Amino acid sequence: MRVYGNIEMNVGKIEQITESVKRFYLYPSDQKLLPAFTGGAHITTYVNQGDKTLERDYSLVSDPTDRTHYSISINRDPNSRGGSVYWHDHVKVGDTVKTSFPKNHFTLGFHAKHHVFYAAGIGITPFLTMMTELEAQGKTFELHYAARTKEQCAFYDYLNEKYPGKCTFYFSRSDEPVRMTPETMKNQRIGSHVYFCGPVSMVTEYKEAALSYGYPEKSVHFELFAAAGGENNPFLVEIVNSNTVIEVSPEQTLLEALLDAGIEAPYSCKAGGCGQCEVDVVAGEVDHRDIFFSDEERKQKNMILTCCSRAKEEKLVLKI
Amino acid sequence: MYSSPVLYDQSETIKEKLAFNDKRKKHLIIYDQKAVSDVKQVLAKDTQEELEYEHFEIGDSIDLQALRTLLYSQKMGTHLYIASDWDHAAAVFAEAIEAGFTEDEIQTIIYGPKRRYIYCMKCYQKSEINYDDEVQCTHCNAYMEVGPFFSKVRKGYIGYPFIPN
Repeated sequence: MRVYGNIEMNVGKIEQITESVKRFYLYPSDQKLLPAFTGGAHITTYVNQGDKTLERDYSLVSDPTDRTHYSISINRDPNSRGGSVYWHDHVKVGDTVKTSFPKNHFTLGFHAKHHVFYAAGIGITPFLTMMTELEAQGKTFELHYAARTKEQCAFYDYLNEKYPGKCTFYFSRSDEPVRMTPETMKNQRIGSHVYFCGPVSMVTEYKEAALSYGYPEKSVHFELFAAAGGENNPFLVEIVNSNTVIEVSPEQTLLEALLDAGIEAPYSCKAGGCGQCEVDVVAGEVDHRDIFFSDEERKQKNMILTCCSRAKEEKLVLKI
Repeated sequence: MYSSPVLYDQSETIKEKLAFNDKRKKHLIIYDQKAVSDVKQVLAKDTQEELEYEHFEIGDSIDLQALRTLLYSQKMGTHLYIASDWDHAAAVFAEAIEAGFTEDEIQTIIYGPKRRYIYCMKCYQKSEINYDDEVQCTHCNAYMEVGPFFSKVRKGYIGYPFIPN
């Protein structure tokens, strides 16, 4: 049985899903059964690119009950940090990659009576396994899915065929453009949980709308692709328990600077959504850029999420 | 559901008096005869502020079918207020949880005494208790210390048996 470390995988098959989305099928090199996972789970992938390793998180899209392989779907985004472009342009059938065990920061609400999913673009991926799980349990759900066109809408045919009547599609660049809006949350039955996955702007808009419609915070779930942007000033970080001072450049996140300096800082999603990289702030003012902490928590706690938040001024003092 | 919330004397939903939750869009008030004058007073005052509300009065007994129809027809953004004696509140609370309300969406105002239960770790039966720290099981007569933990599954405080001096 696998108990720790990463898993060596062979790329067994690559499918072109849309013009910009590819699905990669990963089989364990030792041919043992893979760890089980639940709807909404993701893995961290490690791909060697020359002398550096690209580390990226991708949602699992394979059937959670099939432990012979994992599959991930990646949208080629030339404006991202380079991971998706490398996967699309260089990873071939037969290549070996490493992955983590499955992790899940985006689980289904245990007590929900009805589940409502909102996906933008490649944000559909975590919902595929969630819907598989709910369908198997006979629970009710609906999907609202926005894409530019039908052709660019990954898994359009699969979703229509597998979940007839449960999926609503919104194509913003079709002949008759339709925009997905948060309004559909207004008339959901009591006991509904809502889930958002997409860019920061979309998730922020939908989260705020849900709260304004009176949803309790515990009924609102989300996952982000990337952390929110903003002006990146350089600043210094003093680690109080190791007497170290680190410079954080405008090109780096605080987390990257800590890891480059050899500090074993905790992290997972790298997008300000999971809270795994939370660190105590001893002194200095934080420019919070996550959507993990509520306004109240920001006032009460002296914490920073190192993957996305920065110093408001020249220096922060942290305890790690 | 097996681990669904239940109403117990330390429930976070219990408040001293009815106060509308301003995060919600609609307010559903279910009350019995003991709470009727207080509820009507609050409604008379707050309806002037154009709050959306709906209410349901419990007579001598609860009309379960009407209650379920009401609870299941509610939309997200509704806050439920239960103002009644313990037995009515416990019954409405259980129906509301089954319909999909969470503890964050319920406020309970109890008129009269609250009921407490203990789950005996010797005979695995539930008994009603008072506020003493040590009690006797009404089923097996074991002496029990009332534990600090309330079990949602067993619907009572965990009772630790001991041999008295």
